[in-house]
Amino acid sequence: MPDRPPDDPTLLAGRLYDTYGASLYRYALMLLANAPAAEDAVQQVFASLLKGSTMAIEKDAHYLRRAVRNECYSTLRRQSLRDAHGGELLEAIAGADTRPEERLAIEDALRSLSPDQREVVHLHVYEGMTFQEIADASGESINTIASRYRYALAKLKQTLT
Amino acid sequence: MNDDHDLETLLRRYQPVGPPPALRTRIVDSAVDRRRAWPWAVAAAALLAATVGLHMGTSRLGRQVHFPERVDERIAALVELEQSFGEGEEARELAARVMRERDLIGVLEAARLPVGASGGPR
Repeated sequence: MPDRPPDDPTLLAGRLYDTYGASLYRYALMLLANAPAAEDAVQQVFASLLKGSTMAIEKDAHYLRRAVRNECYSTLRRQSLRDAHGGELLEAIAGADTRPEERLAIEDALRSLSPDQREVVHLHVYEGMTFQEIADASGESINTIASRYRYALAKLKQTLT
Repeated sequence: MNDDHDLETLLRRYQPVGPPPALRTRIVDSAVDRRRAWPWAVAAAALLAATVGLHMGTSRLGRQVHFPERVDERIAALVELEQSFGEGEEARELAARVMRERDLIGVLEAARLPVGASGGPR
């Protein structure tokens, strides 16, 4: 974030959210495959950020993504979201050739992946991150990330064909 | 679907759903709640301090009065107070301050008991 955020917590919260909120929510949604849990995770991260007494928070996207990641994995450890109604995961890109049944099939296929597989698919496909960047962000080796991605795509192909 | 490129192309026709508009409201409102909590907490502490001051001005507090309280009860009360003020260093300090002022009030109340009363302070 280039400028120093304001001290007012509401302005700070609004500004941080407007900058990073949508991206963080999509990341949490793909990790958890559950919309209400993703909302809670993002809100929890923002609440933690705003707890600081100084409010002079200079956070970057990497920090926030890591915080959301930690919160999501904590959520997954605490509760099983497998049977919960997770809401929609995907929406069609405007102008793309899409079909509702295709979207549902892809959503089901994504739900069949493990959270860490969905995570790597999300970061690589939707966030455009390289395997090295994902490895740096997650603290795992690039080989682990590349392998995870390969297995994820194989499973998706198997489910979708 | 034969290769990874085809699958990635298929996936990229879609994107993860964005957040509902209500999420921004929830997050900003929670920040507002935190901001509102502080004037209340400071006002409560100030009122308590004023009460203590008034008691001190009118009581017979001129002697040493021992006011025992169990440590675990004190810690529990402190934690409860801190949680009521939110979290963090400021909440901890404020809770400790209120606790000290509570102690003073207790001392003042005890000082009003007849000397030598059962259970009274010495």
